[in-house]
Amino acid sequence: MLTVANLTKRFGPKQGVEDESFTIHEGEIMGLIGQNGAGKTTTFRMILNLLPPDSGTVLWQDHPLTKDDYNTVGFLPEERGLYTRMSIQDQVVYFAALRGQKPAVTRKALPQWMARFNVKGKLTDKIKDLSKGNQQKVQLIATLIHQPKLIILDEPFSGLDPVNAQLLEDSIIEMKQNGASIIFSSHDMANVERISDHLLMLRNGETVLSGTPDEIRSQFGNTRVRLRSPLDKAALVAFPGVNDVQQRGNAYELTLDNEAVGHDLFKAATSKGYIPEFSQEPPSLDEIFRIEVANHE
Amino acid sequence: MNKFMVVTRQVIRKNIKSPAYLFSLFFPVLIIAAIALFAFITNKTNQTPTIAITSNNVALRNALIESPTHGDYRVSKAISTEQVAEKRLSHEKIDGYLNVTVTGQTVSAVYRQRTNGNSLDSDTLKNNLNTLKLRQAAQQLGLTAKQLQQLFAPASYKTQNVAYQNGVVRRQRSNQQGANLVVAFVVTFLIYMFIAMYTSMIAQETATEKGSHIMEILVSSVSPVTQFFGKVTGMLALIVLQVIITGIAGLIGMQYFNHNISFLGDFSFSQIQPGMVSVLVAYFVLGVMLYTVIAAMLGSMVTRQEEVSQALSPLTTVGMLAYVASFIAVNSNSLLIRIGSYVPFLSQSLMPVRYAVGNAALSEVWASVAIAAIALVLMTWVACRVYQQHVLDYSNRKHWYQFGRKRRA
Repeated sequence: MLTVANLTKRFGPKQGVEDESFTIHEGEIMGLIGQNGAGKTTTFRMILNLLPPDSGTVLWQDHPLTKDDYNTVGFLPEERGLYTRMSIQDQVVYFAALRGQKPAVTRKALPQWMARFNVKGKLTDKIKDLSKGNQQKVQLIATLIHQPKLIILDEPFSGLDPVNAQLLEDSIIEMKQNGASIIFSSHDMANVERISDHLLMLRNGETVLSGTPDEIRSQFGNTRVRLRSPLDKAALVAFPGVNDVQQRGNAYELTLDNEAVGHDLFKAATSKGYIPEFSQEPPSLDEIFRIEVANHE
Repeated sequence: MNKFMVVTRQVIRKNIKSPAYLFSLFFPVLIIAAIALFAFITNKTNQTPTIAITSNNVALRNALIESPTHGDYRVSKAISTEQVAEKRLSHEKIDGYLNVTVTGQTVSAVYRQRTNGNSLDSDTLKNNLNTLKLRQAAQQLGLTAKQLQQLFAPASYKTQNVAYQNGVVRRQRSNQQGANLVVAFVVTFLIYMFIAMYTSMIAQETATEKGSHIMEILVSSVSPVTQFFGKVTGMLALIVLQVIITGIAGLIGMQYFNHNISFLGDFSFSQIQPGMVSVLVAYFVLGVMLYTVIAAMLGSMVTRQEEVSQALSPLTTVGMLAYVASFIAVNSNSLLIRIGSYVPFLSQSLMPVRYAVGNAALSEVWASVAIAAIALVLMTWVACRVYQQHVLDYSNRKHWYQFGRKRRA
C-alpha cells in the first residue's frame, strides 16, 4: 500500500505540489491527470525519494521508501532513457539486475515479454537501431520484467499506437491482478477511464478532483444526452433547459441544465414511438478535464 | 550479486564491447606489430650485397676472403681479376668489387659499386683490411701477437653521475639513470594519455546517463553513492587492464627490438631499480584515479552531453601542464618543480622524473605518494557528495556557485 499524505513541494516561488494526499492499495490502479506542469512528474519523484518534499509523507507498506525497497519498484520516467549502443537483452538484463533480478531469470523471461509487446527486433539488436515505438516497448519491458510491486509510469501511453496501447493496458491490468500498486499519468482520458480504479486531477499542483472515475463523473450530473430522433436541430435548440446542441452525423449531442431536463426530452423525442438512440450520461472525463482547466483560468 | 558489482561490471562490459575502447586498449600492440612489419619489410628489400675481391697480392686476397663477414657481405670467390669483376658488375651479377693494391708498405683499396645494387656497410670490410695490414706490419717489425694487442688496447673511459643530497653524495650508475629516465618518461606520457582518456570516458558516461534521463531509473534503483563507487571501481579495473596490456606490449616490444633501435641498444630491464617500478605503479593508479574521480563529478554537474568537454577542460589543462613540466624537471630542480612534485594532480608527472634523474630520494617520493593517496580519499568524498546532489539536477544554474552555497549551508 502506498500512502501519500499532505505532500507539498515548492520550487522557489513556483508551486510544485500543494497538500497532495492519496492511497493506493494492493491491486489498485491510480490515474494521475493534469496539464503539463501540473505536478505529476514532481509527485512521482517525491514518491521515489528522488526529490525531497517540503512537507508531507510518503509511506510504502507503512514505512518511508528506502533503498531496500528499490527492488520492488518499477519506474518508467517521462523522458525515456536507454543506452542506445546496448543490445535489447543487455539493456533489459542490466536494468533488471539493478532491481535485484538475476540475469539468468531476466534472460529466460525476456523472449515472452518481447512477444507479448510485439517488439520488432532480435534480442541482440542495438537499441539505436529500433524504431521509437519499439524503444518505448523495450523501456516498458525493462520497467516491468522484475514483477515490481510499486509501479510508477509517467505517460506510459505517449507514443504508442492504439494496438500497442491496448497491449500495455493488458499488461498493467495483469500487474494489478498480481497485486501491484500502480500509479500512472496520462493525457489520454480514455485509457485513464478504462483502467483506473482511482483518479486524481492536478492543476498547478493542487488536487482539483479525486475519486473513482464514476464518482467524479457523477459529480457533474447526468447532463449529457446523445439523441437520434425525429426532433430536428431547431426543435432541440428551442427545447427548455437545453444549453448546447452539436450535430454528430445523424445524432445530436446535447448539454442540459440539469438531469431532470432529460426526462422531458425523452418524452418529447418518443412522442411518436420508437427512436434508435437516447442516452443520458455524465460528461466524459475528457470534457471534465477541459471544464476543470477552463474553470480555474 | 550486489548492486555495486552490477554497476562495476556494467561499466567494464560496456567499454570492453566498444570498438573505440578496444582500439585504444590494443593500440600499443598494433604499434609494435607495425614496427615489426616495417623492420621485416626493410630487411627483405635490403639484402646482403655480393662482392668480389681482387688484388695484386694473392696472400692478402685470400686472407681477406677468409676474414669474418658478420653477415655484412658475401664474397664471390671465383672472381679473381679486375677485368672479370668489372664485367660481372656490368652484368649486375655482383653488387660491387674491392680492388686492393699492395705497393711496398702501402695498401690501398678501391670499392666500386653499382648505384642500383645492394649497398655495402663497409665497416666490417674496412676493419678486416686494417687488421690484415697491421698484422703484416707487425710481422715486418717482429712484434708478437701479444705485443700487438697491448699496443692497440684502448684506454678505459667511464662516466659517473653524482647528485648531492644535503651535502651527501648519492651515486647512481650512468646506465641505471638512463634506464630510469626512459621508463619515467614513458610512464609519465602514458599517465597523461590515460588521464585524457579516462576522464573523458567517465565524464561522457555520466553526462550521457544524466542527459538521456537514464539517471532517473538508475537513481531509483541504486543509491547515487553505490553508483558512483561502482563506476569509479569499474574504471579502475579498466585502467589496470590497460596498464597490464600496455606493459606486456612494451616488454615484448623492447625485448624484440633491443638490437634494432639504437637508443634501446644499451637499455636493459635489469638496470631499472625495483623502487622505481613501485613508485611508477603507485603514481599510475593514484594519478589516473584522482583525475577520474573528479571527472565523474564534473560529468554529473553538466546538463547535456555537449557540455562535457567544456567542463573537463580545466582538469585536462592541469594534467597537460603537469606533463609539460615533467620535461623541465629533467634539467631543473627549482623550488617550483620541487613543490609541484608534492602537489596532487601534478606529482604524478613531476616526481617520477625527479626521482629518475636523482633529484629526489625514495623517502621524498613516498611522502608525495602518501599526499596523493590522502588527496584521492578526500577528492573521492567530495566528488561523491557533489555527484549525489547533481545527478538529477537539470537546472542551468551556475554550478560552482551552487556548490559553494551548498557547502556553506
